[in-house]
Amino acid sequence: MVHWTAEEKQLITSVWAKVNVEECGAEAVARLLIVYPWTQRFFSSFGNLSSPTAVSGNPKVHAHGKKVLTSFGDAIKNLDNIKGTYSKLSELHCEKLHVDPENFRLLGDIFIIVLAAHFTKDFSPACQATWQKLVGVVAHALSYKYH
Amino acid sequence: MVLSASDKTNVKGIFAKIGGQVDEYGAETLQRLFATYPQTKTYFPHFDVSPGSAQVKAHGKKVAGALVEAVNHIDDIAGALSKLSDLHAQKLRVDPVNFKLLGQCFLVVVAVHQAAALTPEVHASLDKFLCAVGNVLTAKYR
Repeated sequence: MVHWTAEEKQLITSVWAKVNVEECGAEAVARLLIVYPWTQRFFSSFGNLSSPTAVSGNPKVHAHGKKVLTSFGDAIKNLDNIKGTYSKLSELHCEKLHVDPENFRLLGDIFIIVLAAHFTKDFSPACQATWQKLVGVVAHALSYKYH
Repeated sequence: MVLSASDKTNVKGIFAKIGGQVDEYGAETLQRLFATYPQTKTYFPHFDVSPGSAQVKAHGKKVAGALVEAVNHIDDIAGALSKLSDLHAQKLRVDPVNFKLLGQCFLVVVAVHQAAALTPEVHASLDKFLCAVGNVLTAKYR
């Protein structure tokens, strides 16, 4: 079980309260597909991903971003059992979606950048450290059931 | 991985916006690196790594200067950073994984201070550039 200090929990919940899940989710997934274009391999059914503009404006990218970040909220509601929370999702990503867990780390890093751009000076080093830890824990949990 | 003409334009553009503040960006990058990835402090046992440290400020300025040098010679980063590459291979031997961590922190600093300028396209170009710099610095490791 991951240990979270009171300060870390505070930094997580206070930031999350101000996150627009739909907007940030869409931004994060769009940037993932733009900055690391090989990640597009999982989204051949998404239609036009041929340029950064196409990716950013793609409604399927938008919807998927919202889905992913909504799910992230489950981790935040269950900080003391993230592995359990993502057990089924982990199996899904392994057995059905065949996603290399490295992609969870890439998305996590991108999400940090999106948060930094959104919160600017409020995204302190302590805030970054906490959230980098959280995305790492989420990535680990999502890869935990891989076999 | 090759920097396209538009990558080079994007990188030059964002560094022009950063301008003279690049030294502060360097210091903040290191501060965030040590806070977020404490294992990176193992390379600086001789440093005071507490926030506001003069040594961290000075080192941040060095790191920033090297990035600017790479930007100014973006068509030949390997040439521009050749001596730094030798230094990292022979003396410093910083594990290659750490250049990714530094790159991530530099991107965060740019996002914090230049959010509007860090469009997805510029983000992609800057990430590629930072990877290229890391590759150059570890190129002679073995």
